[in-house]
Amino acid sequence: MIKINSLEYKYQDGTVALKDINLDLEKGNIIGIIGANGSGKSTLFLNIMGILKPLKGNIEFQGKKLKYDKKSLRQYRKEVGMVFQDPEKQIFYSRVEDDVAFSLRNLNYKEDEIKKRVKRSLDKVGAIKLRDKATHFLSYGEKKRVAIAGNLVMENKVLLLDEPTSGLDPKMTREMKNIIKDLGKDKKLIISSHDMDFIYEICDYIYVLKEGEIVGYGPTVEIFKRKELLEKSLLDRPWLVKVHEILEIPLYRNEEEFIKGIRKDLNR
Amino acid sequence: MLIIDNYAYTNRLSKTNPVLKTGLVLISLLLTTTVNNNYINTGIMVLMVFLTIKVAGIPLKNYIKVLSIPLGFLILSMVTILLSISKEDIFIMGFRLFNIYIGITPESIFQSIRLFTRTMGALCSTFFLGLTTPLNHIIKVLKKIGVPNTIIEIIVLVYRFIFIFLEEANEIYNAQNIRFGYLNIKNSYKSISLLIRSLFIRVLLKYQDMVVALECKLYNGEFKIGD
Repeated sequence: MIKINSLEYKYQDGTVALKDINLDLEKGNIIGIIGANGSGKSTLFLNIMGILKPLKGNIEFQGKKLKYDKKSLRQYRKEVGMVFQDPEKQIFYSRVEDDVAFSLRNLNYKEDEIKKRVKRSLDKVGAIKLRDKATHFLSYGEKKRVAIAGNLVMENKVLLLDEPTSGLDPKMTREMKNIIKDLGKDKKLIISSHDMDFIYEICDYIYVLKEGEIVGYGPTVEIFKRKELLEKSLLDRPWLVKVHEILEIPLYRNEEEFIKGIRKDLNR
Repeated sequence: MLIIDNYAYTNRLSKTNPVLKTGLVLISLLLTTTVNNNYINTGIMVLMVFLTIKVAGIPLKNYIKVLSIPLGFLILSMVTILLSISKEDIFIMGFRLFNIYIGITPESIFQSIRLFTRTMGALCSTFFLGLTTPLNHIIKVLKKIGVPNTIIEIIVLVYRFIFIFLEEANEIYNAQNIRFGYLNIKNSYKSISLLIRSLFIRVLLKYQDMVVALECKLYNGEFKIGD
C-alpha cells in the first residue's frame, strides 16, 4: 500500500538523517521499525506523513507517487494517520469528545455521524468513560488512549504509531498491546519502538534502523534471531528469544504460549 | 491545578443544566447592577453563598480563600470612599490633622455599604458560576446564545493552553527547586530568569510539534466546536 523508494533526507544543517531507505509495507500487516535513540525513526515517520519532504526518492501510496501540494496531502492524510509519542502535543481541546472529533469536524462531517464514530473509537481504546472528562485531568495513559481515538475516527487504512508504549505502566502496556492487536485486524499498522518484547509479540515484519539506514529487515522471528545485527544496532533481544537460546527450549511468540509450553514439558 | 477549575468539575452541581445556572447568574448580575438595592443585593449574596457552599458543597475554607483576592480590592476601595477630607468638622467620626479634618460622613457610610452589598452580590454570583460550572459547559452555553465562533475558539484554546503552560512552568520550577535553585534571593533571581527563558523556548518547541500534529489532523484554519 505504501512503498518507499530510495528515500534520502537531510536536516537543515546538512547532516544526513535518512539514507537510501526502501520500505515495502505490503510485507506485513503490523510492521515494526526498531532502532536506537536518534536512529531516524521519528524522521522517517514524518517523511511518511508528508510533513517532511525527502531530498531524494519518493513515497508511493496505492501505486501512485505522493504529491506535496495541499490538496493531495489532505487526501493522503485521510487514509494515513499518525499517533505521536507525546499525547500532550496532539490534544487541542479540553473536552475529550471534542478532541476526538477534531479531524472529522475539520472535514465537515455531519454531527450525528461524528457522534457515532467518536463513540466507536473511544470504545475501541477502552476510553468511553472518559468521554465527558476534561483532558487536563487525564493521566498519561488515558491521554494516550484519547490520542489514538482521535486518529481512529478517520477510519484510515494505515496508522503510524510512534513509541506507543513509552511511559506507560505495565498494565497499560499490556492493554496497549491488546488495543494494537485489535486495530491490526482491519488496518495496516506501522509501529516504532525500542521496547523489543512489545515489538516481538506484536509485529509480523521488522525493519531495523541504524544511523539513518536500514541495516536489516525480515519477518519478526528471523530478525530477532540475528544477535549481531541487533547488538550492532544498539538493541536488545526479547526475553523469549534469549530464553529460547540459553535454555534450548522452543521459541514462543508470547508469554501465554511460553507458560503453556513449559507446563506441558513439566507434566511429561 | 487551579482551585476554581478543580471544583468546577467535582462539585455536586457540576452536572446541573448549565443554561439554568448561567441564566440565574445573569439575572442576579443584572439586578445588582441596575436595581442596586441593599436588600436585594444582600439577598442575592446570601442565596449565592448558600448555593455554593451548602448545595454545591464547596468547602468554606477554600471558598473564602478564593474570595479573598477580590475582597482585598473591595476593602481598599471601601476605605477610600468611607474617608473624606474637609476644612470643617462635618464628620460623625473623625480626627484633625494640622488644619484639615479626616473622617466619616453619614453619606459615605451609606455609599460604602451600597458598594459592599453590590460588589458582594455580583462577586458571589460570578463565583457561583465559576466554582460550579466547568468551562466546557459554559462554552456550550456561549455557543447556544450565538457568541461568534472566533471568540469561542479563543476561549477554548486559551483554556486548554493555560494548563499546558502551567504544567511546563511547574516542571521547570521543580527541577530547579530540587537542585537548590531557590535557596536564597540571589539564586531565586537567577532561577526565575532561567525559568522564563526555558519556558519561552519550550513553548515555541511545543508549538512547532503541535503544528505538525494539526497538519496530520487535517486542520483547516478553524477550531470547530460541535453542537
